Amino acid sequence: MIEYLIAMLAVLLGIYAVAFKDNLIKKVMGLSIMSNGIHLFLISIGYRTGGTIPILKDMDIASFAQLAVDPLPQAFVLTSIVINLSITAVALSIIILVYRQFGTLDASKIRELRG
Amino acid sequence: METRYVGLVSLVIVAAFMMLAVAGLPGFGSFQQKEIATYYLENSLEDTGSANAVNSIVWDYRGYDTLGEETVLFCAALGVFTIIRRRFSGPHHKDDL
Amino acid sequence: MDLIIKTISRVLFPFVLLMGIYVAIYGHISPGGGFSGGAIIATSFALLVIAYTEGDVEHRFTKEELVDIKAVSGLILVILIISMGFAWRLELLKTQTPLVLWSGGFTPILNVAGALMVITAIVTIIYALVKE
Repeated sequence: MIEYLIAMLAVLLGIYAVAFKDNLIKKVMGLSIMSNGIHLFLISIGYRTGGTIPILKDMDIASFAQLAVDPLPQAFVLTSIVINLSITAVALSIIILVYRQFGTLDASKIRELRG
Repeated sequence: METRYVGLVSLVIVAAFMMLAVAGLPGFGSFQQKEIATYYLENSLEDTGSANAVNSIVWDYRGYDTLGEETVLFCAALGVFTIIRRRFSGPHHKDDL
Repeated sequence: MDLIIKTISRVLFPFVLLMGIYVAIYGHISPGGGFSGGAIIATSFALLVIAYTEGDVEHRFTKEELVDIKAVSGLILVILIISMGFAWRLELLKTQTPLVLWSGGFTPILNVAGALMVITAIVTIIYALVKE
């Protein structure tokens, strides 16, 4: 129960960083923290108490299917981590373009300058 | 009424709704056996030959998802290279991106 | 950068590379696989790039270097598409005993291909962002 609350706390910290901070790079960091929190939540759903990793190692198959944890959310989180990397890379390159045009990285000042 | 205080109050309301939604889930560690997970765990060795169930899911049973993700990674690298490039030929103006 | 950072990164580079190759190839026995191994190898290259760039020099990278990297990764992607489209399974590698390196059907080849894709993408991104 408290494990799910900690994952949701990470998502809330990410939302706070995106909405309430002024520097542009801190907003991108908030995006990354938010997605890390939701990955933690997804993996901790498929946990079984007293289970083993889903790799078959000197065990027969019938008891292995009763003991192993869920392998399906782990496969989806692998894909999601790579897509999050692509989003962060493109966002950082757009920040470089914004700095070349406006000369500052403050979000409240960029709203007033009309390039 | 400043915008900042309204934003903080709405963040607290969103947090309360999130905690309420999470409290309705079954407890930590009580994962029941589902059909797809049982099938993947039992038949992973004789269908693909690899003992790692996660590896056989990512590259064999759901290989098309991995193909789409590789395309996304490729397009992102291409996009970064295109956005940052400056002009190479001609006179260098002061206000070109 | 300082002399200490340059020396240490030059000494550490082959060990990190070996660790990444081990994690990428043994994907069907131990946890890891294509993406983790590719990320570790790309980290070793990124260490060299960051340690050896001079201060604020606006180094314009030439177009030819990055076109070569992109051509290799595009070729790997085409091979991956074609082989997944035909669903060709290696029968020789499949009927061996499990949990050794020489087994596992089609998945070791796909692990290496996926690691190559991730390496080329991350090296391109870091090269473009560091050299401005």
